[in-house]
Amino acid sequence: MSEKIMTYQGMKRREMFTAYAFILPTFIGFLIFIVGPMLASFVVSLFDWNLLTPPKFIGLDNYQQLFADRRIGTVYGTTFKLAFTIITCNMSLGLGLAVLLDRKMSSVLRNFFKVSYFFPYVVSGVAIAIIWTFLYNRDLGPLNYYLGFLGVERIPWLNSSTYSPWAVVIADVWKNVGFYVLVFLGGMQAISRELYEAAEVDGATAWQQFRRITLPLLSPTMLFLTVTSVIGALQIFEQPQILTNGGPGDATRTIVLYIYEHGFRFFDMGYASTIAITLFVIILILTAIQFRLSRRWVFYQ
Amino acid sequence: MVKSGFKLLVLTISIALLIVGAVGAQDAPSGEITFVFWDNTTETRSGWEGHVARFNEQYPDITVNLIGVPGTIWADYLNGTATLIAGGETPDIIWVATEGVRFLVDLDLMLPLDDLIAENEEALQEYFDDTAPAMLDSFRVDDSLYFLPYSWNNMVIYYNRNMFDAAGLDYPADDWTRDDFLEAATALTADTNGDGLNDQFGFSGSGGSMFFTLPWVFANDTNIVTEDFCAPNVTDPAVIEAIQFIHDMVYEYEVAPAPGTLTNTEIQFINGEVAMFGAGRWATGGMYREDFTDYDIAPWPGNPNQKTEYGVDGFGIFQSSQNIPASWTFLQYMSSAEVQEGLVASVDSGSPLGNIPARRSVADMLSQFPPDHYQHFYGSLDGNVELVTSPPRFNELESIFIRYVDLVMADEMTVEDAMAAAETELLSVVSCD
Repeated sequence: MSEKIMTYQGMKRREMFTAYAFILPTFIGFLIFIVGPMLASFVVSLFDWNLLTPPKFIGLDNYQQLFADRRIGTVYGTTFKLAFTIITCNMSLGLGLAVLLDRKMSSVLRNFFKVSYFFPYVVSGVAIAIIWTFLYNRDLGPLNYYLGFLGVERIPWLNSSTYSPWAVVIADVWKNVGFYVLVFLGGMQAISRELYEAAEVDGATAWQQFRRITLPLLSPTMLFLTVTSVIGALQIFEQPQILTNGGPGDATRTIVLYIYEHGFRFFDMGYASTIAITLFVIILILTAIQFRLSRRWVFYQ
Repeated sequence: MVKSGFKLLVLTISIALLIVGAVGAQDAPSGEITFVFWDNTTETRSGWEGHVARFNEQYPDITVNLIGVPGTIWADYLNGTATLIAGGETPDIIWVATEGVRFLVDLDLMLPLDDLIAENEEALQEYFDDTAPAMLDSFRVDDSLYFLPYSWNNMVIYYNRNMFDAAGLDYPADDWTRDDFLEAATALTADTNGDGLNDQFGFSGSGGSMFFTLPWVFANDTNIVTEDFCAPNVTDPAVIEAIQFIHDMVYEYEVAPAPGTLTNTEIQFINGEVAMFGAGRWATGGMYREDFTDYDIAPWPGNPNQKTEYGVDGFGIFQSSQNIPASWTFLQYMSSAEVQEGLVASVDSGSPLGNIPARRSVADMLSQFPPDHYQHFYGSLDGNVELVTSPPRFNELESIFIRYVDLVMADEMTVEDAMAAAETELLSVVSCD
């Protein structure tokens, strides 16, 4: 009897070993490319370092500089506004399109739509941003050309503090909404059809079915999308970098652009690392809050 | 006896030759050196490779490794170089322009060339005589010379002769003023398709970057920082007036397109949609490629001072270089007329595309190509020129200044407010404390 248990435990140990062996490459990558640089940037934040001459230890001076920085508040403000708008648009549009695609239709048509929406997601963000700079051109861009038929005057999409954030949002949503559609669709198709059939028998309308069945059972999907999109949207970089270079002024300067500017334009690795750490702390807190709040609104089937 | 005497002779000669060879080898620099350059056009690398190949015909014992640092703007290049040095690379020679000179020198990274020059004074005399003092002065910090000038640019006005002819205008005079310029620009602006919006512009291309904005400031006989680089000077009424003029060209006089309007000034100049634009000699490359010759250049319009901006590039040696003799040999070779002649034919010759050679004698060869008034390139040095404003923290200065100029050009901030805000931010960047 005890011999049998031993074998069972041995097997279990061997299985565990295999499992760890499988996750080891990811774990090593995580250590080298995530944890290592994170710790390094914390150390660098205590130094004055221009890359070219040896770093100089300056204690918490960089952190003090944060409080004297007149621009960082504006830049965080811009980042949050952009992130909020992008996430709201992606979530609502993604959900709406997923609902439309979840209706009865030929699988050919559904796959066509799925591919169409998802396609921009796999294209490089830089390439997309370059294409959008042409689309947004004030006098030669197709966007203003077609808006002209509606009587809209030429809009300086990339050179106005009013419109340039929208230019960034539109380009980002166009690129990423397909991912949301696909994940939402996956979530919806995992919901048991019996629930809808039962609801129909009880006389529930389509809206009631969506409100009472689809939405609650999609909540884990939503949690996943919210958490990942908050993290992603707060780190948005290439679209504003290429479309507007953060401008005009700081109208589209996100925090990552700001970090980049200090690190790779002004040769101030110490201060760039310090700002990066504030972003890390903010994302950490926001994610923790989301998980805490999720207990109230996320239902698992 | 004869035979052994012959043997002895051969032996003696052989030994003598060996000794001479060894001494010779000691004298002639050899070994490996690494040269860092800005890899910003498709022709750049092959241009430098060509120079290195010709250098190796004379100095086969020196191997020159090329490291091209990519980047679209000046700051990218400097940063890429910093990153590779931080990554453990120890380059010997760098190609650098005015904007990065004080940055590199103030960090004690560059070798003062004075001692090396003193050792080779005679050989170099011809180079120094042929190179304008304004070039050399731009590479001097605290009386030491840190780089040997290779090529340079000044800002001039390019004008499309066909468009001037069509409008019945005289070509710009050498002593024209900003008022003359504005008059011409107004006459050259038109709404050709009658949709109520101008589609042909008198001028395009100021604002957006420092090099394109500063000539208007210099023409007002002022600068955006004090002469000693110790304080910002952007709230000077003369600076404000210059920026206001750039703004007004778009919004008041409506002779220039709003930012975000044009995709490529040079192409639109060739197409007859833009009559004038400001640029350095680099712009001739595009026109050469497009086979467009109906253009000429004029000095920057005075207000009232006829003054324009210039910037120089050249080669320097890193203090950390492990092979200064070979590096110095390469630097001297790169300063030769033979190498600079490559700049004249511009398009096929490599980097930096179409700049003005630093040597006056080589610059005279520009007469073979358009524009007709090519002498406004080198000749500007005989008049009033000002070096592009490049304090040690140039990148930050440009970033702050242009960020506020952008807001002015988007018509979202008054020039006074923008420059006041810029001044506040610049206080910590342009300072001698």
